[in-house]
Amino acid sequence: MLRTALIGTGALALVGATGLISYNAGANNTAAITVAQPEMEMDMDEAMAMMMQAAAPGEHHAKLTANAGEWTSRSKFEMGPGQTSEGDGKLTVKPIIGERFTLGHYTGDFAGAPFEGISITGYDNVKKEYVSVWLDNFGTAILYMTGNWEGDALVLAGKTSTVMGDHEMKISSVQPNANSMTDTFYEMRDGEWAKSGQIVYTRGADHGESHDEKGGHDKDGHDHGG
Amino acid sequence: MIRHAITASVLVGALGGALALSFSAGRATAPANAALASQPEGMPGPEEIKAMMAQTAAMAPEHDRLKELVGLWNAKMNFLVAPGAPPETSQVKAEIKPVLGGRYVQLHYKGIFTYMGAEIDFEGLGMIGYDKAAGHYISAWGDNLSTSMLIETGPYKDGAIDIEGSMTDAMGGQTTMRHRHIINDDGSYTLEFYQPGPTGEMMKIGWIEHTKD
Repeated sequence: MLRTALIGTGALALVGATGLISYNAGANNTAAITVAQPEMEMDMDEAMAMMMQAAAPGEHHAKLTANAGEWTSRSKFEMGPGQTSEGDGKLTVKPIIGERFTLGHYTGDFAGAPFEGISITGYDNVKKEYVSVWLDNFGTAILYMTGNWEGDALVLAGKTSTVMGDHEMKISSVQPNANSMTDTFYEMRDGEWAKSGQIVYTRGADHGESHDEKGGHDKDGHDHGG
Repeated sequence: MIRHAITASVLVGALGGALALSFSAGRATAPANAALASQPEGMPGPEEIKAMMAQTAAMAPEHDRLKELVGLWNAKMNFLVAPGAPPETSQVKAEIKPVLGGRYVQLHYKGIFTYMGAEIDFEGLGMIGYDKAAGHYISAWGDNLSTSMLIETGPYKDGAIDIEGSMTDAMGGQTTMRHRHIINDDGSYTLEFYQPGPTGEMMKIGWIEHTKD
């Protein structure tokens, strides 16, 4: 049914996946396709298998989707030399597109203003790295970050445009147990990473409620070999 | 085992987009005039920070175009699968909605389309915005035909939001993609897609005709 071609060109191009393998417009459209990168021909089934494998969610995606649900957060950010801003927020994480990505929706207040942001996060099986975008109502850019595990921390870095030029950011995320996680934010200053803030997340929809939950023993039940 | 996770890059934008500016702004003067930078007067005050934040968050006329994409659409897919032959067509649904105060639109496509006779169960989600600081439209897209993400940027040109980028292909290389988002006079919306053809030049490989549901 799905046999001949995912491959295709078009559809995926619609949006993206297509690049994978593009057909040779001049060729017999059922017999063979030409793989764009190396100059070689593959039969349809082989190409399909390769594409399906590349498109399948795996253990890295499972790590992302394990965070599905509602979280409350407490943030503390540096606003300027000697100034910090603290705020409460909520994060909802939803698996999307067949558990290949998660869609994060954050609401809260920041520096006295209502703050809302959206993230899409996944893992690129071919590049073998995590990929993530972030956008929010405090700006009009899209921040694109990539990265991987560094010990216990998932570290993503990327840059976003600002009126003062590109701004490099890095986020190190650790999760000591299934109900809490901490993101530490860094920005590039004078060629070095400087910590700019931190957000601590606790699983649960309401501030306070999550701290009263039974089953807190889980929180100490893991040895994460730091 | 599955205890690590990415937390969404929450508040990145706040830092990346606006607030970090306040810090950077204070430091920006340092290389030029260290003495000035060390003085509190060299740093932006709360009012200045507020003004910068408002400026960064404000929408531009270019965001108005995104509104035209909003709606529940019948999306007729057209693929050019053989030279000289009529396009292969099929129908999926698209929901495009404004998010984050209209600074971006979120696109969600779902349905079964036909490609070279095969039925493909498809779902994809993306965002399109206009980055004022960079001065271009920007898009992020993911779908169930790969695990890669496509980031595209580009201008409004010849009646289209004309964006291009590259994404990982299954062979480990990068493939260039170009998408033209066209709002037609009758309110319908056409999305054209291009990829490198046999000679390496960008070639139109298909399009989607969106009509209101």
